[in-house]
Amino acid sequence: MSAANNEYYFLSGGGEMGELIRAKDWAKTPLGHPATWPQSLRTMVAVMLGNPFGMYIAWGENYTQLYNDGYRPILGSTKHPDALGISTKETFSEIWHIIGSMFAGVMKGEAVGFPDFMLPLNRNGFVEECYFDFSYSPIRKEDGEVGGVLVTVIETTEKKKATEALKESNLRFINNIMHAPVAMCIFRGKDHVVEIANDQMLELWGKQGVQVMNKPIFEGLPEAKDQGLEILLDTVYTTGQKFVANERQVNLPRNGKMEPVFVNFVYEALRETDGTISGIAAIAIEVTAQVLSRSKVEESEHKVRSLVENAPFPIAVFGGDEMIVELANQSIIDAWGKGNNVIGKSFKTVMPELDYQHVFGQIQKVLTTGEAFNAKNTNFDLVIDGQVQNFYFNYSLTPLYDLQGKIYAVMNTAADVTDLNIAKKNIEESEQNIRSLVLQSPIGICVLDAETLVSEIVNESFIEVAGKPYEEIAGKYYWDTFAEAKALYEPALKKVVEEGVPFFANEVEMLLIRHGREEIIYVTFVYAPLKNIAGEVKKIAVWVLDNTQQVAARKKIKEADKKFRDTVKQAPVGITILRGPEYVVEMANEAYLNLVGRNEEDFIGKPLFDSLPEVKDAVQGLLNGVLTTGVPYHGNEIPIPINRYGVEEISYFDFLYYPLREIDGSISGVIVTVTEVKEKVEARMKTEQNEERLNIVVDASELGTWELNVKTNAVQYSKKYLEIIGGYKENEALTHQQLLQHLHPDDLTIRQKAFADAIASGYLHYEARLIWKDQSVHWMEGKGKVFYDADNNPEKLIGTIRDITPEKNHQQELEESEKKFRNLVMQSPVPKAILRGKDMVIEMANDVLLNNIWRKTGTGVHGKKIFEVFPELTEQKYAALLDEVYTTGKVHSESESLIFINAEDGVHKFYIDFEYAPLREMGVIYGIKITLIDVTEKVEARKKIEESENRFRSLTESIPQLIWETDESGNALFASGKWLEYTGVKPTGEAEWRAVIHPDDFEENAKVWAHSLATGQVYRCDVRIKNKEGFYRWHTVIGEPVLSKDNKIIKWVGAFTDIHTEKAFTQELEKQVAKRTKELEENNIALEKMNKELQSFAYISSHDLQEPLRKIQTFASQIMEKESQHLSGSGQDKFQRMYNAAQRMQNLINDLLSYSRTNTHERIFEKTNLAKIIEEVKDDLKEELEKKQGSIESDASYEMNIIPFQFRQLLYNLVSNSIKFTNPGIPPSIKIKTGIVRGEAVEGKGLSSGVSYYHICISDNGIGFEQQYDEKIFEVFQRLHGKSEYPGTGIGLAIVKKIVDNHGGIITAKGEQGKGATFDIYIPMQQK
Amino acid sequence: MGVKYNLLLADDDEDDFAFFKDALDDLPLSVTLTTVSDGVQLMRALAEAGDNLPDILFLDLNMPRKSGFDCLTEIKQVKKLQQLPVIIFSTSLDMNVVDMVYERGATFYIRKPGDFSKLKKVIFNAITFTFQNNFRQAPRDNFILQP
Repeated sequence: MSAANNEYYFLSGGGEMGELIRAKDWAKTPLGHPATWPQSLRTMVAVMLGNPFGMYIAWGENYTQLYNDGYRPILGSTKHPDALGISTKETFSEIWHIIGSMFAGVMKGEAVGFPDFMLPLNRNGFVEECYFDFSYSPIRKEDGEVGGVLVTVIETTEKKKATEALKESNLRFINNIMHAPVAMCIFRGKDHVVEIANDQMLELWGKQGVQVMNKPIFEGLPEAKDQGLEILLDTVYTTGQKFVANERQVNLPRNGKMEPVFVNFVYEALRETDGTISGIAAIAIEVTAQVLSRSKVEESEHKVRSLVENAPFPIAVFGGDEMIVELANQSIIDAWGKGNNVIGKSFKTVMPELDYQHVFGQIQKVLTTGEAFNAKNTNFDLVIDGQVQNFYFNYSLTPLYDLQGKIYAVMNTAADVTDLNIAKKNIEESEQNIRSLVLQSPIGICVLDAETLVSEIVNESFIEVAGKPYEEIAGKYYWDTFAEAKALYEPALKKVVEEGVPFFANEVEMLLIRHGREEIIYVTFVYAPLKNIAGEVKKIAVWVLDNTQQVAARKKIKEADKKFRDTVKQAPVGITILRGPEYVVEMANEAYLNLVGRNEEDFIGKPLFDSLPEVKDAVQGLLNGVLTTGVPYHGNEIPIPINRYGVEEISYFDFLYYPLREIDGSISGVIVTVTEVKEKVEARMKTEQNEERLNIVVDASELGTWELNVKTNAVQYSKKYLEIIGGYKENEALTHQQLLQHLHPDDLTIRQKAFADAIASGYLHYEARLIWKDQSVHWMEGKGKVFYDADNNPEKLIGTIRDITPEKNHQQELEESEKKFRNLVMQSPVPKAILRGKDMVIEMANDVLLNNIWRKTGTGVHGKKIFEVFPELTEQKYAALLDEVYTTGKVHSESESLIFINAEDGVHKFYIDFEYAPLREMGVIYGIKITLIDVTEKVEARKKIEESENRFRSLTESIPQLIWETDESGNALFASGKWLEYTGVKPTGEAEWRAVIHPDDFEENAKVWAHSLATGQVYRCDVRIKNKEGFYRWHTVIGEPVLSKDNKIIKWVGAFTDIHTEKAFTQELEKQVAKRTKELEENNIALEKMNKELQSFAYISSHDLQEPLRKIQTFASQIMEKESQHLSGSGQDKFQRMYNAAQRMQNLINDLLSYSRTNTHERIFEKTNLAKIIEEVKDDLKEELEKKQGSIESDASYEMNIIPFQFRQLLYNLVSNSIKFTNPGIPPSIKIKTGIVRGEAVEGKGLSSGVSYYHICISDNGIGFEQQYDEKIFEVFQRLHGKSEYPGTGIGLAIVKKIVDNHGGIITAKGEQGKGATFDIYIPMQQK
Repeated sequence: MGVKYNLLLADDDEDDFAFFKDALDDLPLSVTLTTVSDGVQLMRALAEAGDNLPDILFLDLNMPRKSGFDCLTEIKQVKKLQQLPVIIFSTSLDMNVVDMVYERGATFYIRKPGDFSKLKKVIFNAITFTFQNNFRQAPRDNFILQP
């Protein structure tokens, strides 16, 4: 059967299931023998077996099953292989109730599919969940009926797993976000749609989920707009760069209001697997509380600090055990008095003086215990600015706690109560003083009640004065106590009580009962009312002083006084006693009255100045002085005006004002003693007056006076002298030596000479400079006279000095200014002259004027009147102008004025710029300064230029070129008429140029023109210019700068020339040249090819040709050596000839080779010593030379720049020729001469002039040659002689010529038949 | 001379080989001559010789398969062969070539002369100079052996 099944094409293949299907005896199944299967089944089976996917067919009503390898695992091990060929119902009996209807449906033509259908399969030794896409589709038979069900299965396990994993991970992701302890959210897309946001984020936003979810964030949270967040998100979204914000302030809704919120947040881009950014993850932490609290802390710290710093009382904070001053305001810093640099230092080191004053201990205690410490009115000694001072402070030390509650510092506040303390102390003291003062007062005090007149307070003094016991006074009615005085003073006391006005009693006599006895005492007392605030008299203070003793004493004095007066009265000198401030004349003796010319009655008892008004001015001040100060005044020869007996005169008095003191020491008057000294004084005054006058004269003359003792050098001088000598303002005692130091060192000799002269002549006079204290230099004039002693030796010099600095300065200035003016005129490069006076006398005329214009000598004109010297001026305008300037004083100037001057050689014509300026002295015109400049050349040149310009312009019109002119920066100045004629426009600016110049040429032309303008180089350019018919023609423009004398460009002149025809020709020419060039290049290539061929020929000849030749030679020589005895004489000869022929051929090849090498070898020039090469050549040719007994002479000594091996060959060839071509029997004599010649010095040889050549001349005495061959000999293979005579290849000289050519040199030959040949070689010294 | 020297000639030209042999025969030297006719043969012969190297190698430059120049370069690179004296034996005389082989360490340079007597002379000189010179390279001035 199976063999039969194999025959069916539709059962072929199919792996294991194929085999099973083929092995199956289908006849036993409802399907029947395969041969009977309908076509559609066959086709499906074939498809199934050929398919790698799982496929399953349930055919017919019985659902007979067929399936392939791909489907097998789905059946699992329990159903396979039994399932093949049996019914689905049987195989899937357990689920047929589910799938039966589905199969039935398919059979009705309804396809069904199950995507991702899960089947637990054990495929790899364990059960796993597998997923498949099942599709159930009807298989239609040929007649259209459904014949069976086709199940196709595609496994989707992997896909499913991936999807599941994705789902799970998404879930986890969202879960993570949702349950994250920080605010998180995901924004999707470029609009930042909120995809996920956890509660924290919503809380942060202040929103409900529905308000924001799945909306663009700025739509859901519009409050966050315009706070810069959009751009952040956009940037992260576009760039993918993470953004981290730290404590960023964002305004967000809180409880319906916007509030500032501080947030730390991160925006991170979310990327897809392909790297594109699809969204942003945002993570945020609100840090508002921290920020606020920190800023509060900062604020409070700041507050504390500013509180401390601005506190009006001293405050400081000390940190730690070291008591570092952490804070201290200016107030405490000032109190410490240690300067501002205390912060950060230990308080202990800042205030060491507090160490023994317990403060540090107190601070330490506060630090350790935390108990605040207060102290009041504590006395401290502080060192302020290095001085110990006493202070009082109220202060407190307060502990400062940190956040952990630890004491970290102590705050010290203090109040400086020093002033208060001192004031209090003072008050206390003064109270004390007053109290003790009152109690111990020497004045008696008794206070009465104003109403009752009962005594309330009584002091000791009062008791003493009263002379009654305390008990009789205190608490008693006043008039009871002093009944004896009642009558006299009761009304007064009553009046005081009633009116409130104090009552004074001065030194009144009073009868009192004292100590039980009646006694008369003298008292001074006061009843003083004491008032309350309302002004009512409440008390009466009785002040009393016992004057009894004083009164008694005064009485005694009066008596003594009287005695004194009586004595005085008789005194011979005038004596008077003046009392009180009015100077009442208490007494005056006879002498005094006589002195003043007054009667006693009119004088005594009256104020002094009432009687003697004339002396008031003179003496009142003196008297006042004595009366107030108590210092006696001694007047000596005082002039006092006095009117005696009707005569008013000034008299002179010696007098003494002496104070008169009372017993208490007070001054009550003046005693005056006086004598008249008029005559004595007048006599002396006359002398003094004389001296005074002299002084005045001296002072007025500003003279310093001096006197020098010649012998001792002692010097006396006046104050003025000092001032002049050294600028001293005060009197100073200086020695002669010190004074001399003020003399200017340079002028010391002048003074010495003057003094030496003075000793001889008796008179001193000199001028010298002085250096003052302030180092300023001054001039002085000294004059003096010598006084001689009895022996006629000079004893002293008396003299004066005068400060003459201003004169000197003025003089110098004057001289200088005059000199300057004169120099100015004389040295001026401008012709100048000075005329003086109305007659215009030539005072001065400088050389320029004399030589160039006036053509006179200085002596010929100086001192002469100008119009006498130049009468021609009177005929021209100049005379009138000069007169006008002299009279009006107005400056006259003119330019390019024509003037004619007559000189000896005729009349000269000038153009001058001139100025006539008046010269003034003290405002008066005394002359004229003439300044004139010869501008003849300039004027004439300009005229010439103008002329030439005109000529130039008219010329431009007559030539066919278009002429133009511009200024130095290219602005059009002029364009010839041809311009207009040709272009129809006038070129004035860029626009016109653009219009006429071909657009293709414009930029280039502008560039060239700009370059020329910038560099001053000639402007040259070819451009096409449009004519007015609109056709372009080629023009060449050439512009040249016109230079000023100082080589500056002043303008540009140029021309456009029509070159259209030439240009066309040139273009044709260029075409032809290009053609020729091409031909040449082709020729060159051909030549190179030929050269290469030649080189290969050279190689062949050097090697391959030589080899057979060499063998011919070798064989020949072998035969001659070994076999010659077998040869006849003729044979031997022929062998020899053959050998020679081969030899010649070898030479020929060698020569040809070297000839070709001279072509091909690189030309490497080296500095080479010619003598050395000649030596080498000599050496090479030694044998030949010896053979012919020849000689070579050479003077070569040059180092030449040559190709060494070639040059050697050259010399070798020439010298060997000379040795070879000799006259028979005459030994060759070869001379080599060398030298250097200039090309131009050699004629007829084609040397370049201006080039230096080495000249090598080689001459011999050989056979020479006919001159007609002088060029032919240098050609290849040219021989002038038979080979038998002179063997050779005919190449040697050709090589020589070639080598000389290689060196860029020239060789010539000179010969004379039979006499010798000369070769001249010229090699340029500089090789190119 | 007593000692018998082993000479090796590398030359592809039979004539030159015959000349060399004839010359040696005429010379009063006790030598044996071995020949190879190209560079490849030469290098093989040297490699197979082991310790039994020739005393002098006469080397033609213009040989088929491997040129004498290449052979010289190789010989001087092989440590065992470095001491082998190599005398260049060539038809041509190009100074550039002479300089190059001198640099590569050849002992002498001989330009094959046409005259047989000169050939004999130059071979004799080459052999005797080489021995006298203790197989060292000749100084540059005497490097080219003149016949």
